[in-house]
Amino acid sequence: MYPSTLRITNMKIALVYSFKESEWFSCTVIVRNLVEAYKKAVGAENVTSFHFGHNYIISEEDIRTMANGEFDRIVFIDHKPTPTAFLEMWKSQDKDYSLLPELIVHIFGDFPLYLREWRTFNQIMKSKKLKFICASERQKRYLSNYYHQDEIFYVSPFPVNVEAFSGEESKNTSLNIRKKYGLPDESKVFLYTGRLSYQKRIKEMVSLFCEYIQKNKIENEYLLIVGEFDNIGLPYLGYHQIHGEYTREVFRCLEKFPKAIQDKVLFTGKISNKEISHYYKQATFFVSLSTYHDEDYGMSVAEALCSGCPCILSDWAGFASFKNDKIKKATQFVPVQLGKSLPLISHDEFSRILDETKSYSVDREDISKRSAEKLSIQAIGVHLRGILNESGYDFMGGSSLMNQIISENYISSIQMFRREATREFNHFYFKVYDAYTK
Amino acid sequence: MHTLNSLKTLIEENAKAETHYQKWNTQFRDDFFKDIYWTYFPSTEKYYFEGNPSFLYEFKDSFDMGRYPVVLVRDGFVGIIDFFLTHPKPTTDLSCIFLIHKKYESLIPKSWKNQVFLYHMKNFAKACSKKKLFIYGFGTDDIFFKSDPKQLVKKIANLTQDYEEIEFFIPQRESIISSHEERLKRRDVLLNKELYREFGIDINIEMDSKTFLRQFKDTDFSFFNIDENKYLFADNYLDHFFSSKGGYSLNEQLESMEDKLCFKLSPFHEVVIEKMQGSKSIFQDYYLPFKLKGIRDSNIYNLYKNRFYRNLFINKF
Repeated sequence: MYPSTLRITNMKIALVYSFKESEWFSCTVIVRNLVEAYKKAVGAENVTSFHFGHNYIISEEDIRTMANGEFDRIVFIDHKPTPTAFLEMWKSQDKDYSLLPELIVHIFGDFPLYLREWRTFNQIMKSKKLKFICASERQKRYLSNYYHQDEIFYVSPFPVNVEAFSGEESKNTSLNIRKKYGLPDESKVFLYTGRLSYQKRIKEMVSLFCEYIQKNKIENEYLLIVGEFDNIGLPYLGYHQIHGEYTREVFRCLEKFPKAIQDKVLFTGKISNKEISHYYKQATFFVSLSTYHDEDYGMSVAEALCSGCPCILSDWAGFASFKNDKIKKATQFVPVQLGKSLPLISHDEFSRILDETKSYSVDREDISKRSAEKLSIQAIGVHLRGILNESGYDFMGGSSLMNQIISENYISSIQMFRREATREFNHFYFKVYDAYTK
Repeated sequence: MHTLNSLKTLIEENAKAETHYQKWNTQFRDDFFKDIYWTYFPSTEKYYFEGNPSFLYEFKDSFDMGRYPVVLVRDGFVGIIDFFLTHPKPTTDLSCIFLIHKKYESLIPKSWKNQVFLYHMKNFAKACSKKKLFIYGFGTDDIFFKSDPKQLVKKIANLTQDYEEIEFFIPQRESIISSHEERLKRRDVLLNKELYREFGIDINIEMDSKTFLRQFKDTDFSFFNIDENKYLFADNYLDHFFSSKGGYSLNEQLESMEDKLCFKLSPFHEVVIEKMQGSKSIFQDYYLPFKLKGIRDSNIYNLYKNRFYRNLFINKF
């Protein structure tokens, strides 16, 4: 972390993002919070926002404004589109990019999906000042496979609007989740929030939880699953699903257990963002075994922790960055290894952790306070201020591995990490995704 | 003879088997049905269930269909009639179990009793706080067989009375299956006109399904499908879409029997499968006139336009 006393005198920054909400809710929240964090970093009066729509269009007038020398940094804070289209349009105003100030790009989990655009980006940005900001250490490790230039990488978690999540839940809260879902007052609630997607490993979570309940004859514990099912499947291996396919997979798995066990797993569907903090505050644990290929961070984990909710997480990608030795048992990790067609989660270890929760006692206030110290908009603002103030390095372009993967992408498109003959991951996957495991 | 239990096993086993209905490789019977499929899209969009939900004309022929152990027939009145006119009795090359919409039980010939079960969808979302109501469907001719656009809009207006916000997803689509004369009436346009007349010119009638489905974010809402006739299609993807989002259905819910199989398709709705209840079959009412006319083959395109079948639908359903 950078000292909070660090001052930047009148550094003017241009924030570029889509003013329209993203189809990914977490990205909408991230962008909103990043805008606030940058305002804290350099002062709201020094921040100007520019709309760069998901349709890849930015107005010529905005480009002209940015090219007039007023701004010290241009910062891309959205996941889509990549800055490539922006840079191509910039050329119309400034042929040799001599007016382009230092570029800072926040990298999101969907980075590998747009490799062709990053290829053009690499060509344009060569020898120009650039910083990449990753949301977690493992994402930085992942990106290092594509760019062998450590000095351009920074890590800054996505900020949380802690005001919405911190503070103890009032006993007279308007939303009592146990009451709402008919659970006993003293019941233990394991909570998952997010998309219910194949790679989020909902089926495994449900199955392992039910086995644990059945084996230990547990009465008073519930798994509350908040979110909507999707049909994304596993695009890297060409496994696309249709509406309801993963839903049935999960329900088929659940239906194998006796009715009494089935009743311990509740699906709430999507809930409004206004209500979500009540769920984090009232749940006993947050749990996610996600091994999603895009899991660069974990906004719901960050929000759960800021709400004081201890987390049981897969030791995968961005989740690992929530390890905080200062807070006892705030996070417990389930080991993950890369597998042929899906990362392998240690079932035994997850069961052991669940078993251990029987005798768990955590200081929720401490979890909330210490997480907020690290993840609040204010804290991230200070951190970003330090990054902004450092002088950037000349960008040297992508690695040879990146070029090889891009070539594969031209041949196989999104299935660039798939072996030719089988529905399994290829050597490129194992090379780059190794960074997402411990 | 299959029981509900043996059907359950068949459906469960189908989840693992190769006989699972191909998700992408649809073999349309002919190009015209392909046009109809896309005209009615996204109502016709695929969804997953181990019972192979599909339209009968999505199979190349009965041999193609016969490869699947179970087929949930998404067709409505015309598709079912067409099937039984062509197959009045089960044949050895068509040994699959058919799940037919409960509304049309009486269309099923008695000879098919051992190979047919009934299904309907049950939405068990809790009634919402009446904040928002989605009205959806296409103003194609088949939804106006029993009422005209004016009457339908009156019904919609009654439903929407207590709601704070109403959103319409009624893309304008031509009734490509109708006769030229009927098409010229452009009931889809008339429906929109009536909607504007009733709700004012400022209402937004969403036309683009891609935008509508992708941007859908609501959590507390009700929905109403304007196609209550189920003349062409009985099983609409949009019903599944709204149900799986937790929406509360304002369409009529069929009663379930005690003896039934239920498969959850989302946390908020399920498909209910029952044995045939033995209600009076009207198969002879439509089969005999067909036979007497000496027509050799039938198709849904002619049946859709045929006055006799339309009147049968109006009188019996």
